[in-house]
Amino acid sequence: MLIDNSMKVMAKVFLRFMLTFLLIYLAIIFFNTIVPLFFIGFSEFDVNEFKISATLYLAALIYSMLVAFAAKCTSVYYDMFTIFSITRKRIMRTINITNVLLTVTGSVVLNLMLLMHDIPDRGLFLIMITLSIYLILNFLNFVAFLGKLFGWYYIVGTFVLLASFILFTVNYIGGFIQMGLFKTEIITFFIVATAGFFLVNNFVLSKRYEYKH
Amino acid sequence: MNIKGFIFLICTIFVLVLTINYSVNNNHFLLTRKTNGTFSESLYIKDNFFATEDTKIYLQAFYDTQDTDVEVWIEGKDGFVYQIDLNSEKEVEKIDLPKGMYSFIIKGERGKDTNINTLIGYYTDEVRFINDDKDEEG
Repeated sequence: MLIDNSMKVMAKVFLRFMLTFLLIYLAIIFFNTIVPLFFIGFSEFDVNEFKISATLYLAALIYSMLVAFAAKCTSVYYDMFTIFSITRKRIMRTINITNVLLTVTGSVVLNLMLLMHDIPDRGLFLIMITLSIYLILNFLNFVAFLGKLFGWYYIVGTFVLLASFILFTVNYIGGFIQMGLFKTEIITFFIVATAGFFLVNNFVLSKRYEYKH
Repeated sequence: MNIKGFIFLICTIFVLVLTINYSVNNNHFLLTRKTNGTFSESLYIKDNFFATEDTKIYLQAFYDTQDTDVEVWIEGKDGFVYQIDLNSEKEVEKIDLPKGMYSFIIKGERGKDTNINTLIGYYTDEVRFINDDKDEEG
């Protein structure tokens, strides 16, 4: 069955997260788009500008929410593992299902928001958003597992290595953002990196590592 | 104290410093050069650049009015090197250029507030643009 007790725990944690971020999102939208109208007059309301702001803020909020959640949920997985003695297999299953559900939901919501705009290459947006969310979730799970198992040095070290990697690939990132170049390379990297982190996370959890910190 | 972790951290910082040093010395960055504007009647823009070694540049150009005649091409010492097919789609052309002197030329006629946009992507260590001010008529 898809929904077992560990999935219910994750759903509860996520719903709390989502509620907080939703309130922040509504507050940002309200203060940035509605409040100025009290001063300049409601006749100045621009629907297009509102749509753009709503989409941009939602994109930023979804990504930051998933980053925060991916970092936080690893502790929950470990608590379930160590305190409630749930089997490794069930935890791995919960992690994988949670990541897929979050990716699909986040990507669907963002792409539905993008339907309000006239943008070219919707397919590319769909692929890039889906892959980037899944990569972020798996990467942050990996980093959080490293921290839990071996200590904070490895978290900082991994982010330093990430900075070096970004510096090495700055032409690819810049070329993609400015001119839409290197699509194949970037999509391939996203798929390979995601698969890599997915396998490593499952491998790490399947081994008999002790909970140290 | 976690000695292994500390050594790992020092190694990663060393890798970062080496990467920064390598990137700065290599100076191989992809930059873009834009031409955005509107013209009526005619337009002629010539932008000269020098490829210090064999390189590739990325070119994107489009304009919004179909009745206007607009041509965009790259010219070397011996004439045409590459002519871009202009259309409303923003497709990027990848052009391989041997070492040498080139001009990027935009020529437009019969424009009526025609909007034209071009974007050239080039590598900083391989391409130098010579004149920063463009000759424009129209």
